[in-house]
Amino acid sequence: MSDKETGRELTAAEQAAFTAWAELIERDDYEPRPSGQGVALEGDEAAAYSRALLAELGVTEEPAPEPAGRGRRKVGGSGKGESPKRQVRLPEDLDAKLAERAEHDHAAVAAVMRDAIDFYLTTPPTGLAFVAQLKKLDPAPFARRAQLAQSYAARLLADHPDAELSGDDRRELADVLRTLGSLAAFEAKTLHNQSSLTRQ
Amino acid sequence: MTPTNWTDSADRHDVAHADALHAMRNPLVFIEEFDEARVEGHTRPVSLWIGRGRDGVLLEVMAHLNRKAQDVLIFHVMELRPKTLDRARAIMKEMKGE
Repeated sequence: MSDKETGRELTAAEQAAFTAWAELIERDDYEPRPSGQGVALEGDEAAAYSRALLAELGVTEEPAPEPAGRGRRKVGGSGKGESPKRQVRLPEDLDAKLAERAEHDHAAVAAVMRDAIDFYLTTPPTGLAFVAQLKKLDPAPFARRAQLAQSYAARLLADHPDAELSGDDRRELADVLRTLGSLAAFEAKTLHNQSSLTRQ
Repeated sequence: MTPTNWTDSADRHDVAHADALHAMRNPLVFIEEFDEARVEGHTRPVSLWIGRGRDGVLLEVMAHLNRKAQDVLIFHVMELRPKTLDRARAIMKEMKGE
């Protein structure tokens, strides 16, 4: 394997140095030192820029599609054998959103589902996004309780237009919601919507 | 001759090269100068791609790019970790002045 910057094959010492660096990258205490130059892009912009850049660099070979029928892959975890399988029925509109997201990300539907479940189970709601989500809920089933909660949420949003709510504000909001009575259904619906919170 | 070169370290996690290239072609995040070079004799900054392999698994890929020599040296490929995503988000936030 050659390195054109130095115009020669990588030495064993260089291979070892790259291996040591790759090990460092995997450690929790690794901190990159970005220059602040160049581009930093997301989504369609990232894809368009990167494709153009790779074409400019002469990387033209197309990756082969995922081979069919190569068996079930292990999708993470430390155990051996096939990963556990779950089946779930989805409302049509949610299924449509899922398919749209998978197409947008050039990803398998199963991969998007794994990511969404992982995100849902590992990401706590952030203050401002949590309140914004509350405002979007249909208040009909909860009538007065939800209206009071939304009114309070609106005031908090007005007080914090540009920043995340502090821990105290979140606790205060939680206290208000609790004192509004039995909010089990309300909270259940909020939890159900958490998966979209920090994607806003 | 392909301009993509792979160090031994790029294969530490047994990710197929085609999957890494797929992630680089379809990144969800691309940071051109994510880190500085840390191996003697290599001065180009490190670029980071976060994207999906052919089977949809999210990957993180790091490489040196040399436009002048038309060279890509890929040295880090593995399934995306939350820590890497956090680092990328922090850098993007800082670059946007947020």
